[in-house]
Amino acid sequence: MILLYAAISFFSGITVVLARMLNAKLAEKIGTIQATVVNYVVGIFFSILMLLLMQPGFSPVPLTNSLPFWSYLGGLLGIVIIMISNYITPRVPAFYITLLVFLGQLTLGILIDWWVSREFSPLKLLGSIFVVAGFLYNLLLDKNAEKEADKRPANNQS
Amino acid sequence: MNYIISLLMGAITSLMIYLNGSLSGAYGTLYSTILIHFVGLLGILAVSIVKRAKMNFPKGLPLYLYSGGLVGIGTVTFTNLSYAKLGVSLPLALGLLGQTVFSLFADHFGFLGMKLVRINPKKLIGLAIIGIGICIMAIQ
Repeated sequence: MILLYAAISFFSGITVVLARMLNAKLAEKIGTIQATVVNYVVGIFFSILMLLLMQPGFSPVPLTNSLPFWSYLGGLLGIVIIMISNYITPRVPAFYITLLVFLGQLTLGILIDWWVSREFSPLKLLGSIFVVAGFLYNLLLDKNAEKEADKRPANNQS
Repeated sequence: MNYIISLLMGAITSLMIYLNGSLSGAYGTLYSTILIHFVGLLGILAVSIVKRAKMNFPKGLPLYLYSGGLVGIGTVTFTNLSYAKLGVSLPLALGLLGQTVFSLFADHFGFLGMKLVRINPKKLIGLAIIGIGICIMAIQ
């Protein structure tokens, strides 16, 4: 059962990259803003469809009254992310994007977890240092490969 | 500069996951997904009015190019499903492994017209270190 949910988590990573690529490709054809409108209209359509199919007796009223207004602003951040993503995807190889987004996500993620739970997880930090080290190792491999590729055409010209 | 922008994108993602998480706790997964998308749609419509963007749909575009929003629903659903069973850190770590592996393959095959970057076998060493890190993060 744990493995099933581990696989689901793994798949969430695949859909993140796939959606990023598809949206960037559509943005290339019809424009960034237009592609983002399409992304959200399609998203709303299918999330309403899912709600009606899976949870016909849903409640449109929050279960708690103590919801601060900024809880509703996540959707706006989603817009910011998609705009940045559409700009960055054709300019930076997907692997670099994955590394840097991870670094930013992890740093703020650990800070938020710390702030919310008031407890700091040393294992999480230790594990993430390993993860960053692995990413960095691969990043250096990429850099060396790029240097080699830069050298070759220069040699041909001389 | 592009690298700093990528870094910021990750930080904003974490903030968004936190905000959407609190919304999901109050409304339930499915209904909050609609709310999140609705607020997002209002935001992008405001941007498109300010920038005077005209909607145009050139003919002959393959239908799958419009499927990013559907794939995004998959992300939200998968994330919420696994968060409910595995907590926060493990789905994050495994999701990032999924991103890495898929990114490597996508670059390797030049998937969807991406810049072609072949997989260097040495990168498996890096992936192994990442895997060890994920296992350590998974110990709770």
